Amino acid sequence: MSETGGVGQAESLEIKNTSNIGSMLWIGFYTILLNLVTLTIFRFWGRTHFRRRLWSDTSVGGEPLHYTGRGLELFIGFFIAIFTLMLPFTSILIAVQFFLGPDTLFLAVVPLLLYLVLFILIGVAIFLARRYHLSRTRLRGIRFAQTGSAIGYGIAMFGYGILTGITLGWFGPEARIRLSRKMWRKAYFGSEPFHFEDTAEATAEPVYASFAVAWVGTLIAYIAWIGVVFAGLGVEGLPTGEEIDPATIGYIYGSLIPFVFLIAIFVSWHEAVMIRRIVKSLRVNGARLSSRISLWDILELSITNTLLIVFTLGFGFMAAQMRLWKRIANRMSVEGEIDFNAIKQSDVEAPSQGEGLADGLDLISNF
Amino acid sequence: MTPNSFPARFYDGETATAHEAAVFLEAAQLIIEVGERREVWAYKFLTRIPGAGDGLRLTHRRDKDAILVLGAEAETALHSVAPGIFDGSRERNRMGVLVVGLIIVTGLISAALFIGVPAASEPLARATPKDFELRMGKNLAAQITTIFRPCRGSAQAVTTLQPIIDELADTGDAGFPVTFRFVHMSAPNAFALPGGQVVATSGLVNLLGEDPDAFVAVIAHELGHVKARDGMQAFYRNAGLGVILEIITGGSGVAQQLVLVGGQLRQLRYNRRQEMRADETAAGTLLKANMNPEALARAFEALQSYGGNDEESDRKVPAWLSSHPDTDDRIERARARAKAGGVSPISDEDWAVIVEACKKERKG
Repeated sequence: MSETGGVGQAESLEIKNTSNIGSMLWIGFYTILLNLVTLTIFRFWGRTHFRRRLWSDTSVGGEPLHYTGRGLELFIGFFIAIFTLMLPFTSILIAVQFFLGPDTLFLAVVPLLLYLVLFILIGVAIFLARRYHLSRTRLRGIRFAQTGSAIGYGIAMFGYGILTGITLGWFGPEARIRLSRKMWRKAYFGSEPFHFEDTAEATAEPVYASFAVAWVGTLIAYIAWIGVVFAGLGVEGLPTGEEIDPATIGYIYGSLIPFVFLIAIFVSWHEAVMIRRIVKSLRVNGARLSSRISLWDILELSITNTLLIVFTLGFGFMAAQMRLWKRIANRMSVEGEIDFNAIKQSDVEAPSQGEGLADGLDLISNF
Repeated sequence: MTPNSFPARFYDGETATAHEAAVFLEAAQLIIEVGERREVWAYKFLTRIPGAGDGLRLTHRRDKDAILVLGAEAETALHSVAPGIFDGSRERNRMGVLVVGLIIVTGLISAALFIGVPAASEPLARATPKDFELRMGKNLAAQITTIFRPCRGSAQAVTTLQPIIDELADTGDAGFPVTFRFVHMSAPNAFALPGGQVVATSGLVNLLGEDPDAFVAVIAHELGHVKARDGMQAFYRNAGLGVILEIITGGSGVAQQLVLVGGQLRQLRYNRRQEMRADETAAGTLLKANMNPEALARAFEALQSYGGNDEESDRKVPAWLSSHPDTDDRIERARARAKAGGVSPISDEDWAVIVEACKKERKG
C-alpha cells in the first residue's frame, strides 16, 4: 500500500476551527422552532446537527473531525434513562407518601438517600455522555474512545464536591484537575492512549494564584458593592419588603454592574488558567497539546456570548457555544508529531445509545 | 490513469494512515484501488461528510469507518456520472419524515396529557385504598404546615369546631375522618387535601367574621371534595402531568416530583365539574343538617367581593373560586336550594374562639 507521510514518518498538526456564526444561528433557529411544535423532542436531532457541523468544521492536521452520532440514539438513550431511573425515583417518592406516615423517620430519609444517589449520578452521567461523544468522534477514520468506570467517576466527583464545599471552594481547582486526569487517562484515539502528565509547563500555570484572586476579589467586590448600596441609599433607604421603589431597585442593580464586571475579570483569568493547565497536560503519541487562551478571550466571549443569547432570544445559544469552542480550538497548538501509521482502529466497544442520563438530569451540553 | 480514474486519499478505518489511492468512476459505483487492495462502493450507499478539509469526503453506509477524499476534478466527474448524487434531496426527505413523525408523536403525547391523564385520575382515585389516601393526606398536611404556620389558637379552635365538622361529615357521608387545621395566610382560602385533611386560612375566618354560617357552608363544600376524593384525583392529575412533561422535556424528575408533592398540592385546583359537585354535596349536607344553603351563596359573594373585578385582585381569589369564573351561576344555584329558617350550627361564643384563634399575632 502506498501511504502519504510514509511508514514511520510522523506528521505535525494544526488544530483549527472554521465554523461561521450564520450556520450555527440557523441550526439554533430551526431547532428552537421545531422544539416548539414537538414539545422539545426535536432537541435530540438539533443537537446532533449542531455537533455534526461543529465537528466537521474542526480539523486536525487538515483532516476534519467526523461526528457519527444520530438523533435517534440520543432519543432512545433518554427514554432508557427516564424509564430505568427517573420514573423509579419518582415512583419511590410517591410510594413513600402512600406507605409511610408523617412521623416515620424513613419518610425524611428516603428523599435524602435518593438525592445522595442523584448527586453521584451527576458524575456518572457526565462520564457516560463523554464516552458517547468520544465513541461518535472520528479522525482519519479512527474512533476515539473512553474507558474506565462511570460509577467510580461519579463517586470521585461527589467526594470532591463535598471536599470543595467544606473548603469553601478551595479544593475546587484541584478537584477539576483530578477529574480531568481521571477522564483523560482512560481516553483513546484508536489504539493510542491519551496521557495526562503534570509537565513543568502545565504545573507552571498559576492555578491557585488565579483562584485566590478570583475568590478574594469576589469577596471584596461583594463587600464593596454592599458598601456602595449603603452609602448611596442609607439604612432608611433600603427596601423593607413591604413596598419596593423601582428607583431603589434600579440603583441596587445598577451599582452591581461594575462589580460583576470586576468579578468576571477575576473569574475569566482563573478559567483561562484552568483550560491551559489541563490542555498542557495532554499528550497523545508524540504530540503534546498546548493552549494560548487568555483572560481576555474568556472575558470577551462571556460578554459577547451573553449579548448574543439575549438579543437572539435564546436561539443564539448554539452559536455562542460554537464561538467558545472555536476560540478554545484556535488557541490550541500541537508540539511534536503523531505517527499515524502506528495508530490502529479502536477495539473499545462503543455504546449503542448515548447521554440519556445526562439529558434526564439536565446536564446536557451541546458539545 | 484512465479518463475515469482519479487520484484520491483513502483512510481504510483500520489504521490512521492516509493511503494514496486511485478511484475509478463507473455508472453505478466507484472503485477504490490502494495497491493490491480494491474496494467497490455503490453510489447509493455513499454519504458525503461535510468538512473543513480539502476535497469531497465520502463514507460508505456499510463501512462507516473508511473515508475517501476526492479532489476537485474527481468531484466534478462524479457529479457528471451520478447526477444529483449529493443534491441534498435525501437529507431533506429524511428531515421531512422526521418532523412529521415527531409532530404526530407530539399530538399523541398532547392527547395523553390533556385527555388521558385527567380521564384516568378519577378511576385511579376511586381504586386507591383508603388507608393509602389517609397516609398521603397526613403527609401532605404535615408538609403544608411546614410552609404555612398554623394559627396560634388552631388546636382550641378545631376542638370547638370539631363536633360541627363531625356532624357535617357524618351527614354528608364524607367517607374519611376529617382533620381540620387553621393556618396563617392573609388570602381567604380553604382546601381539601386527600384523606379528609381540610385546611382553612386565617384570611377566610377574617373575611367571614360576621357570618359564621357562611364559614360552615365553606367547610361543607370542602367535605364535598373529601367525599368525591377530589384531592386524590388532583394528585394523580398533577403527578401524571409532571411525569409526562418530565419524559418530554427532561430535567431532574426527582426534584420536579418533590416540588409537586411538597408544594404544588397546596394550590389544588379542581375542575368546574368537581366544584359544582362539591357545591351540590354541600347544599344537600346543609339541608340534611337543618342548615340553610343560602349561607353558601353568601360565602361565594363575600369571596367574590374580596376578589373584585380587576386583574390585580383576581390573583387573590382562592383556588376553589378562581378556576371558576362563573361564580354568579354558583351563587344562583346555591340560592335556589335555600329554604326558610334553618339553624345556625355555631354559637356566638364558639365563633368568637375561632375568630380570636386566627387573629394576626403581633410581632414582639
